[in-house]
Amino acid sequence: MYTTDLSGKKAKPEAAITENPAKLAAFEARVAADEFIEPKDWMPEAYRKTLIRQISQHAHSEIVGMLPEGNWITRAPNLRRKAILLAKVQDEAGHGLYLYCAAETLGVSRDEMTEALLSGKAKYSTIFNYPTLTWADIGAIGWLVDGAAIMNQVPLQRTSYGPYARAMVRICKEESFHQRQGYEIMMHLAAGTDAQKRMAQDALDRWWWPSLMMFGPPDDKSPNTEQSMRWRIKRDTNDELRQKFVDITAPQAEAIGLSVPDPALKWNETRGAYDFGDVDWEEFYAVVRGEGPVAKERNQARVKAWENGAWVREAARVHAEKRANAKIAAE
Amino acid sequence: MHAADGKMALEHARDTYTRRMEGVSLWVLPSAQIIASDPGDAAALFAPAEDKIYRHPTFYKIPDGITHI
Repeated sequence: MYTTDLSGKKAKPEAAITENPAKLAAFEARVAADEFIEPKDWMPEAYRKTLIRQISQHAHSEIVGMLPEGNWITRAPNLRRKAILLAKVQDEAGHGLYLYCAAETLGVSRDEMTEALLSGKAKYSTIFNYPTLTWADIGAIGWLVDGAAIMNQVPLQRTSYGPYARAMVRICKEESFHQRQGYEIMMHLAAGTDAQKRMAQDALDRWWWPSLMMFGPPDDKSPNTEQSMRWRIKRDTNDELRQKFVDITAPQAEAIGLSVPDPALKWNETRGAYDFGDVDWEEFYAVVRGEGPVAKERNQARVKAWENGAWVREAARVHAEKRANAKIAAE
Repeated sequence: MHAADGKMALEHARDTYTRRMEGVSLWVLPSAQIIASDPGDAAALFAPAEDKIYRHPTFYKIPDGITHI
């Protein structure tokens, strides 16, 4: 997921130990009572750091997430689809901005976060390092990727950090449009010509497994889940969310005559849930390490956008300065 | 918003916060100029309003049969 802990290492426990025990206990009690923690409130350093990492990673995912879809704006099949895709990609930019603002309240600057993204130091969701080869991929992304995002983000509307929770409320409202427009694309293709149906199936085949990987490693390989759940930074485990996603999405595929590329997928009457095959975690870890099919292109695109925009930022700054000086001179 | 000046901040605020008609007006000002209350003082500031329940119309009992009030 956009917020998955991609570090793979267990956070150092010392941080929590060196905190003032009385303050720590009061903080933990507030969080346990589902109160919101606000920017000026006391918080343990480890909580602050974890949140900065999680929120900025989430923001970066929104920003990098514009690239695979932006790729298709000029080639959308008609004006209706183009207008919708433009609006969706603009929403992603908005989501990135809400989240960068929320992270800034924790004491990290926008420049520091931008720098971490451009240098490759910061992670973002593995899903965006896969290419969008056909128009059906735009449908698959909205349906599956945004669908998975909703699954993860709805519980985060009640996350313990106030500014993050409030950003999530806005984002969730908008994600629902993203998911439905994606499903609509798939629905139309699946009901179209044989070639269109094949295109839709091919997109599902390529995006299904990477979408399941978005929820992060299995629970027994996710060392920080327990701490994050106690802090209400995370509200469900990776495996719980993955199961929920499969249960909801499999019937949606069936309803439009597409088949999920997993021979082990089967409804389990006893569990009241779908059984499904094993995710290829080697592929996931390779993408986390930066070996995704288009990881380099994504980074280059961000760096190029930043560098090409330098003169605009500089011109705006000089213009603002000049006008401010003129105003002072006139007074 | 991050912006070079007020006009740019207004334009960015429009794009970021009103894509779905959420607002009828936008105000921008430099964040350094905001003077805000400390959440830690919330009790001292707002608790006194809690015991003034007579400010709410439901505090007053009106007999059955009296309407439009």
